[in-house]
Amino acid sequence: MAILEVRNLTKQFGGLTALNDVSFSVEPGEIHGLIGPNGAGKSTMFKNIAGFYAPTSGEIRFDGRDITGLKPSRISHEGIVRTFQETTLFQELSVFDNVLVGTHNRSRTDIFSAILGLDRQKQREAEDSAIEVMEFMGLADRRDQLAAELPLGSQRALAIAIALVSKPRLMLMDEPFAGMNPEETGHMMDLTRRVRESGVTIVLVEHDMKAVMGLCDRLTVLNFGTLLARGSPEEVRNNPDVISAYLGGSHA
Amino acid sequence: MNRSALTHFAGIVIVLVILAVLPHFLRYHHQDFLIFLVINILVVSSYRLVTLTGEWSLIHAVMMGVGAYGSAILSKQFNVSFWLSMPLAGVVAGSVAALLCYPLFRMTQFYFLIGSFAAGEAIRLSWIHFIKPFGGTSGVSGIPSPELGNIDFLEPIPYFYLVLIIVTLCLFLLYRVEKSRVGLTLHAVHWKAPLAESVGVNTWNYRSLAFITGSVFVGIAGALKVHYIGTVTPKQFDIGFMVFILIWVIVGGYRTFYGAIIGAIVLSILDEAFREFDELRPAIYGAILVFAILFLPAGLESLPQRLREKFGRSGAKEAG
Ligand SMILES: Nc1ncnc2c1ncn2[C@@H]1O[C@H](COP(=O)(O)OP(=O)(O)O)[C@@H](O)[C@H]1O
Ligand SMILES: [Mg+2]
Repeated sequence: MAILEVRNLTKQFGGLTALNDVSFSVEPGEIHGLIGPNGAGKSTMFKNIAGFYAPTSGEIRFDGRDITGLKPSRISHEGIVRTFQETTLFQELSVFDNVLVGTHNRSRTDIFSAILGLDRQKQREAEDSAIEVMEFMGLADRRDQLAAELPLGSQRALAIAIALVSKPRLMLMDEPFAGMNPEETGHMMDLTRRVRESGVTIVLVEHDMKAVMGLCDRLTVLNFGTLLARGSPEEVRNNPDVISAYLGGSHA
Repeated sequence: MNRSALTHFAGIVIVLVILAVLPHFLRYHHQDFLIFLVINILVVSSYRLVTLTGEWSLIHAVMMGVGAYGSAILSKQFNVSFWLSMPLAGVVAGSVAALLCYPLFRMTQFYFLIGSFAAGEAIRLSWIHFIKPFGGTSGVSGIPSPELGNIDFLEPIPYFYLVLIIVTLCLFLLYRVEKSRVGLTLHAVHWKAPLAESVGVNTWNYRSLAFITGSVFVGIAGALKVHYIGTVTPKQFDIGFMVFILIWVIVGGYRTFYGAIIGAIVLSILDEAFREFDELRPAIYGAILVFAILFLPAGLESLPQRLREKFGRSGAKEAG
């Protein structure tokens, strides 16, 4: 059964239809590419899935449950976490504290245990998993640096670390390779594969075709808010609609 | 305990010892001043908790009044002992804050600022309007002072010690909240609410939590104040007092826990020093605010750091 199922999703902003009756599904364990030219509606799709926008119509199912229109924090509890297209971090907090915020779902505390010091055990668990994820993402030696002071590659890694430490089952990654040099891209591709190997299903929005073709098991192509094609990277690459509308158009 | 924690601890002990002996060297009138100063430290520190999520309210002074009226009415009309009515003042202020969360936190930033001001004025107007039980513009007077053995809490020195102990305890609790994961989450909500939401933080809940908790503590401060004066009036908690709170926090700085406290202490002492020039005091306050914003935009709390940079003492970079 699909882990994520988007059915007939439509999202309008006033008169503008950003997504028009789009359906696609994601299988457990895959890296699923969501591609299309600028303005195709990819980020809008992510925001609908993650609860930041409420769809105009249509349905989103996660693990068979209807999650359409739930609040972002609720959807995160269900096990979906998104990363942001513009690198989004708690700029004024240290790397460690950034990751620690991400443990929110798994080791809740409340204000009374915080005051009375009853949450020591949870605190330690949270810190341990933060350290583990920082090591996993190669951030361990930057633990006390402010997020704002990190180089781009590490900022992106930190954004993923924050998402990852919440132990999601599905991660929506919005252009994690944008602005990276080939070396950084290669590193990030490795990290993405390792995230998948740790048991997280991934939906990837990306313009870097080398990364997309290298990473993704299947692709969904959007164009002007409508579904253009679906299939393996091989099929999509040879699809004449895709070539004319997307690969041809924007790469010309 | 590492070195920086040790220095902090030593610093706190020294400050407490100085405060403990200080009133014995002061005249009566300055002893009063000291009591209100310590209460105001609790006011700004609880306000700091509210502002951690990035929402600056204009209702904090009124929430202090809610606690003050609560404790005054409980003790005067229902004969509740101060020792119970004072913590209950926190409960009353916290409960009123909880009721206000629903309308207030539908708004953010500028709208929240204005909304909180309007809600505060509505509460203040009801104190004026409902003579029973709030006593109109003249408020409630004859509020009993605390009773404990044969200690005379009408005298400033015993009351000062009472206030010092309660405020120190409250500051300790506020500090623990800020340094806990709850406090970290409040910071996170401030810096990037959508990112916090994406990892499961319900930002509405956390904004409410900060507002309610800050109100509980300022409610206690309100009770401490009016059980000393003996009278509570709507005037004590008007927008004028709110502006003082804002100025203390802004001039002191809001990056660190102690910034607001320093602001309250330094400005209150300056204000006291200029007591003779009565009608000039607002102007002097204004000048200080402008000066601080121009020359110390990061607040008094940044002064040690800046002096250190200026006089180049190397290797002295401490964690705040
Ligand atoms: N909040 C919004 N309000 C109005 N229009 C929006 C909003 N968000 C996105 N859009 C529009 O929806 C379309 C799709 O945008 P987006 O999802 O960001 O595209 P992509 O991520 O594929 O580049 C664009 O035309 C964009 O201008
Ligand atoms: Mg986009």
